[in-house]
Amino acid sequence: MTGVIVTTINLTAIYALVALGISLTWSGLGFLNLSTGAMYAGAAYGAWLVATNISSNVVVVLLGGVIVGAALGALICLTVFLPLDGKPNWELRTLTATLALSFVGTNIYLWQFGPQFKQFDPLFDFIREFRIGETLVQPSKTGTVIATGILIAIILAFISYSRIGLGVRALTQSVEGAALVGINRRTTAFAILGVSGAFIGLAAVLLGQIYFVEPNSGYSPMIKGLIVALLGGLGSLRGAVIAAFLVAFAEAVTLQYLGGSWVLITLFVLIAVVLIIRPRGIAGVLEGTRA
Amino acid sequence: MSAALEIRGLEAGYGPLSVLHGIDLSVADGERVGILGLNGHGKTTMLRAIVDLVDWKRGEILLNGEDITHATTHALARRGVVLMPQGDALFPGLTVKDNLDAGAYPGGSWKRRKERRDYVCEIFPRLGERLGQVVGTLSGGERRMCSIGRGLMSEARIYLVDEPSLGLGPGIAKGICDTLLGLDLQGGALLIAEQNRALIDGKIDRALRMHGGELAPDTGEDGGH
Amino acid sequence: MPRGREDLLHYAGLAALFVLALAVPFAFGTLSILGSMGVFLLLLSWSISWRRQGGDTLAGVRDRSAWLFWGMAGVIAILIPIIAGTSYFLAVMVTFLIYLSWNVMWGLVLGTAGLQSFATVAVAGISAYVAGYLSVELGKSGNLACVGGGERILGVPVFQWWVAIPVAVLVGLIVGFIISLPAIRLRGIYFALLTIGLVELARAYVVQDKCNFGGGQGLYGASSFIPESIAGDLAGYQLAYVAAAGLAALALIIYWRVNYGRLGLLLRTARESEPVAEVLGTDIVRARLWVFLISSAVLGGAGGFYIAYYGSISPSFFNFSTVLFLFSMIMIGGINSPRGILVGTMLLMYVDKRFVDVDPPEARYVFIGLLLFVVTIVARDGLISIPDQIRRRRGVQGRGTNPEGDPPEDVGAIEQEAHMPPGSRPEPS
Repeated sequence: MTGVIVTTINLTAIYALVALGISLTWSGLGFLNLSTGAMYAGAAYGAWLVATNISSNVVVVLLGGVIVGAALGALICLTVFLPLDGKPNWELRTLTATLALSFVGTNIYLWQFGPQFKQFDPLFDFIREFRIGETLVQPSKTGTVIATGILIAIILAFISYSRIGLGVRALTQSVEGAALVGINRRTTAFAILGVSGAFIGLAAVLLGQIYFVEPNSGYSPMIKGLIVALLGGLGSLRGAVIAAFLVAFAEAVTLQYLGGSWVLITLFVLIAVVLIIRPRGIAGVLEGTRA
Repeated sequence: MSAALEIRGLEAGYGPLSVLHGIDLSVADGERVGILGLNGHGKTTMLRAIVDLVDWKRGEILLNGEDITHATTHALARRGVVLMPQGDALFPGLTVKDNLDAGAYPGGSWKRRKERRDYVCEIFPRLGERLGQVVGTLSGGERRMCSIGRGLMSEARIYLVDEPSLGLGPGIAKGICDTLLGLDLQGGALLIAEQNRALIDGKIDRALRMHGGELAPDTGEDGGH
Repeated sequence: MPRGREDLLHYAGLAALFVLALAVPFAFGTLSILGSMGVFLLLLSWSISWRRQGGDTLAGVRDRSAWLFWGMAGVIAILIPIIAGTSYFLAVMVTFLIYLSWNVMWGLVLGTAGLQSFATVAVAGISAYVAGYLSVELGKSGNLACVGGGERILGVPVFQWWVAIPVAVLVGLIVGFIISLPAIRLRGIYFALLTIGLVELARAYVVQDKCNFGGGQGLYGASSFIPESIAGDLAGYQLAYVAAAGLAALALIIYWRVNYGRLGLLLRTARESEPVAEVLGTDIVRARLWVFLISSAVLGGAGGFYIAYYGSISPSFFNFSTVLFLFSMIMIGGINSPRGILVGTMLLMYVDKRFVDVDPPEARYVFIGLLLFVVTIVARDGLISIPDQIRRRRGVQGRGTNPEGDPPEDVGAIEQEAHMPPGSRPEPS
């Protein structure tokens, strides 16, 4: 059982990152970024390139993933958000455009890097492994939780105390209000998608410690991130963290007692049940107010 | 000398709907102008057209002689055109303090936000007591104060105020209007749309009537009541 | 029909284009007829909607020129086996027609019903699997893992394809019903995710179930409607082509019956007018569900057709790339019009087959992805809608300063003003 808990905490951290990325984009800019998976894989490849070519220092590799993720977020802003902002049929078009870019991205990775698995060297070797009861806690898990904590703290501070951060928060609350006080939605969008990308990039490097990196490796985290974000209620950051915990727990239990191939099935049953009982997720209230 | 705000032949509307039919208006520096008229005649549309929140518009709008007809809402806020809108358009999930600070978002004001916040709290002491509270939990009157306070966070060339009394009890509405119109706006002009003549009578420099999408000189009668 | 010189020129131009499109396969191989005809039909549709006079803004209103487009589509369908009747090409066409029937039904769900469903592949695939399961001949040519033990879940006897297809319709209906239950409560994006999940779930399940559904290998050896005597021959493909064309025609007819019938009218009116939508709230929900059920039943039948044609199905049917490929077809063409769906399906089918052996293989997908991306950014409603879009843009520019005539950012706040049109100015007392 302690094994389940350790896995749960580890996965909670990672899923919360991806879900925060998805949720922030939704609440700040009003679209669902379905190229999250391709951004994830791109950041993982970026970090892998950094690790093999520049330095395998933990800070450098993590920063590499975060920066590539943020840059890909900015690219989405440039190619999807700016051209489509304010255009008719917005919801379906942003969904389709991000889906198309994800398709393009995945195939470019396949082209450039081939279908072979890439593996990161362990990043957190310097942390000593320790035991809780009978369960061994690997360095990668400790490192994941610490790195996630640090990034979330940095970004939370940025969002809470900086001027741009206030702009981001204002945008998630009222588009008109933000415009009236002089917040430029289009420039702030870069900050929002950049931060989203940073979250996703970090998640990619961290999960790369457990799974291999391949062109499609972002698909499953994206689906899980979407599940978490929807379960938590799109736009609710607190909801996302709670939902990340629920999903991680469900996954850890399934892994332990049923086996890996059942994970997605369990998760979909979970989300179907929760959404049918509470159609807007654990805390989502924004969905109804956005047209 | 050019007027703070000059509107020439403004027509505006939403989709196929045309609401304003040729508005001409000039507001001098530091002048306070009231727009009276019933709901549905275009007061709100006029204010929203100035800050580019309508579907379409034609005509000309000048700020200190510069053409701002096609400027975007956020760019206008930076140039000192501040709307305190109907429905407040606050950020319900943020605290009063954050809402006020957002009013100082344009570059220059941001550095002096603390100073301005103290000034706003002096005007509306109720806000000062509730700085840490989330705006969504405030009462209607407190929200209106917050909306007006947010507008006062930057030194605007012209303040556009849309029905400050809407949805409030008579006592509170009068209090808020009196406070707002009693302020020294440090050279900023004020354009206020209001349905209830009594609330602004005597506190403004001149009044106009909005009727059926056209502006006319005020006759001093309360049409419709 | 032609009236005056302009019309004459117009029809002469179209005829010349058609001859040109017919000549393309002789120069560039049989496959290219799919592309050339796709382009021809796109241009034809553009010219029809460009010339349509007046502001016919209610999208999908039946117009008189529809006969021209669909008449030409029918002519092309008849010409294809005559001009390009190789076995290979007919096989491509059968796949195309099956895709077309799925896409048309998907368009009904996405466009007419306005439900963001990705369950198309799941409904068709589950029906195909069940039909396949029922018609795989145990011990003879089938491959199920528990042959010999005879442990099929239901222990049912083996059916012929003509039983399996009606069963598939029924399965489609049942699956559609189950999916439609949460659709009552879930909105937009939530429903989209749930249905994407369902596709994934279906795949995960059939991979698991080696005993009944053959696991990762899938099912093969199902009963086929092509008699064994001509299977693999040109005659066999000709038969399949005729049958598949019948399937696609059926799907299109059902599309019309629904889209231009009572259900479609109700849903379209609701989309145009907010007050109508509010008054008819429950009727609209019910209409949506009916549309979803009808399309699911047809999808089930088309899934049954798939298994009765190929005789086999594998879990890769449920791959996300299948969903994406079909989605690209309808989005590039335009979900709100069967013309768009036809053109999109033709063009992408051609691109997919034409560049099947391009090196590197990923380039083909990159191209398709970029095509989808560009069309999405440029056109509001697929390629087919471009003339309407241009006309609307011009119309709006004539009146206001906002080039696209976009809705304002906050509709709620303008409501109060907008409720009272200036025409009805109240008299002051």
